[in-house]
Amino acid sequence: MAALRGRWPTVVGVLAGVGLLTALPALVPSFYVTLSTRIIVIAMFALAFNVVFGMGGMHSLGHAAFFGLGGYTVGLGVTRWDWSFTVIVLVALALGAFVGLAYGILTQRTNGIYLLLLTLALGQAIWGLAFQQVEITRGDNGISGVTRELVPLVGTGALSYYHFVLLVALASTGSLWWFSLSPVGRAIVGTRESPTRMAALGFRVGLYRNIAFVVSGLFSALAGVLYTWHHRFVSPDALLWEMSAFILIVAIVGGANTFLGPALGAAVIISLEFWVSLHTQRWMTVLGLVYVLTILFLPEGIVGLGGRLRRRHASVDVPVIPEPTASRSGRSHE
Amino acid sequence: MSASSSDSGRRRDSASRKAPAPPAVAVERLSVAFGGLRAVDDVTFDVPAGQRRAIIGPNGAGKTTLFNLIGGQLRPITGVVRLFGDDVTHRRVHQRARAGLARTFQITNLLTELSVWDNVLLAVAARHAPVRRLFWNALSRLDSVTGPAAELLRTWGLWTVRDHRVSELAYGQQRVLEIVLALAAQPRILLLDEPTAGLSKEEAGRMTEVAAALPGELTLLIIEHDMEVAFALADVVQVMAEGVVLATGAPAEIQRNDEVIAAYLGGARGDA
Repeated sequence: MAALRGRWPTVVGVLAGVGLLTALPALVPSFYVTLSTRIIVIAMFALAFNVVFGMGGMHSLGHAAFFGLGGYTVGLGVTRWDWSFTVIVLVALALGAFVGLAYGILTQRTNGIYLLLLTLALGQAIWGLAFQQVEITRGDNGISGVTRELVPLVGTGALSYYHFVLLVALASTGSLWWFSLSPVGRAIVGTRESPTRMAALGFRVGLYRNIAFVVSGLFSALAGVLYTWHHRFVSPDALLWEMSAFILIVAIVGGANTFLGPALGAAVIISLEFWVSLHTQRWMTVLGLVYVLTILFLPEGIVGLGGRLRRRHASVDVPVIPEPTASRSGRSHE
Repeated sequence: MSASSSDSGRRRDSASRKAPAPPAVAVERLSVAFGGLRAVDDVTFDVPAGQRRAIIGPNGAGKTTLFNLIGGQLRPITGVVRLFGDDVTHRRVHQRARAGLARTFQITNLLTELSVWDNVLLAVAARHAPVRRLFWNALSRLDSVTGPAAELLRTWGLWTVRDHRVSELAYGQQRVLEIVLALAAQPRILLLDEPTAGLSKEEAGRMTEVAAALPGELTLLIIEHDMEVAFALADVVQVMAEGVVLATGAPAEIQRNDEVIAAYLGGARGDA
């Protein structure tokens, strides 16, 4: 309803945003194109993460696993197994979905801090695989020389890869947006608000949690694919818990209760990282400060800042207990 | 159910027409304990389809626990729960809901940060198996969902607040929305857990009208502390204390029952 009423500004806003992003390489120096590519990849990861975190209300600290699995699929597929582009992408998506399902099933009855610790453990187990299976993954050294020859690009170099990433990210964002409005997507939000109410309505809560993890895992893995091709390199760092914590902070700083909030968080944090790194080595300290300040002053994230200004304090002028118009007819006693 | 299953199909058909329909809710020797306390202790009763039964009793009588056992939120240590003759003792909450059972909660249990509209859409979607699994169409664009949802909101006087978050509603409206969500699934059995709790006298009066206006074919179990409300709504009143059923009968009978009066005025079972 509200979406229908405010539709034109949204359509114009989306078109302007897409146009601006498409034209960006023509407007800024090429270094910023690389930075923007990184922002878009992380933004996509944050949006995928937020299916579990924001929509589902499940605190995952193990999402680096999906991201890193996607990343390693590219790294190994290109350098070791000579897979085609299609196979690489399909395997990455399948891995993301499958591991997502495993996460969902293994964390079925946990919430809050227990869910956080369990996903952390699962994520670290997968990190351990990459770290220790040196023969396959080259361990701590990571896999370098991941060329982009396979990527179906219009041209070569950073500029055309930017457009490739943008295209994939926009398609993913559109799909996730669509998904978030679907009955299944809304039901996932419902289980965040009250699992007991959803169960009493007839929804199988566990199923919707699993779907959230599968969808989230799938798109996180796809973001990981883009990430590795962006850096032409992948290491266990992509799987490390710090990556999980980073994406959690990105989502919170941007605003996990809104659809695009996490993407905005990615833009702000990565821009800040770039700017801070020009002046000091203490980026992690600054990130910590940003996080603390967000929690203290912007509990709804940066997006909440705008929402707070717009929030309507409309009075609800209907009787407190409305008069029902249902008829009493049809009552029958045996 | 088991008795007629050995009969031939034809005879069973004619038999079932004559035989009384299975009760909407039947509990048999139901018990559950929290620590050492038997919250519900060997309780047996039937509620025929279409009956309106009020369950009354002092705090700690086991009324809400009984609802949780019927709804599947709790599992009994012994005993059986049947809905329309089907043993659902081991079925989960959502399976019982799909069997036609809906409930409200004593402590308001809504999708608080979603709009009223979204709450009702989800509640309506819950009853359509294909819709529940749909992930490519927007929920708010499905006519099979929005139609019934709009009708419910208009009927129950919440249409004008449909775009508000549930958390912005007045408490009384939230209590009504609880009932609307329960009704959205077109249940055959409705459990109302203290619908007037926390409402003012005037609001409670309106809520009583709301409950009285529920469709007649619906089997209604209602936990109520307000005797006036309970006696006004119910065909049958069931009195509970300390986990057992003290008395069951028509409102007029119950009002004269000594044991019931004792349960409310003094210690529940005489000495203790």
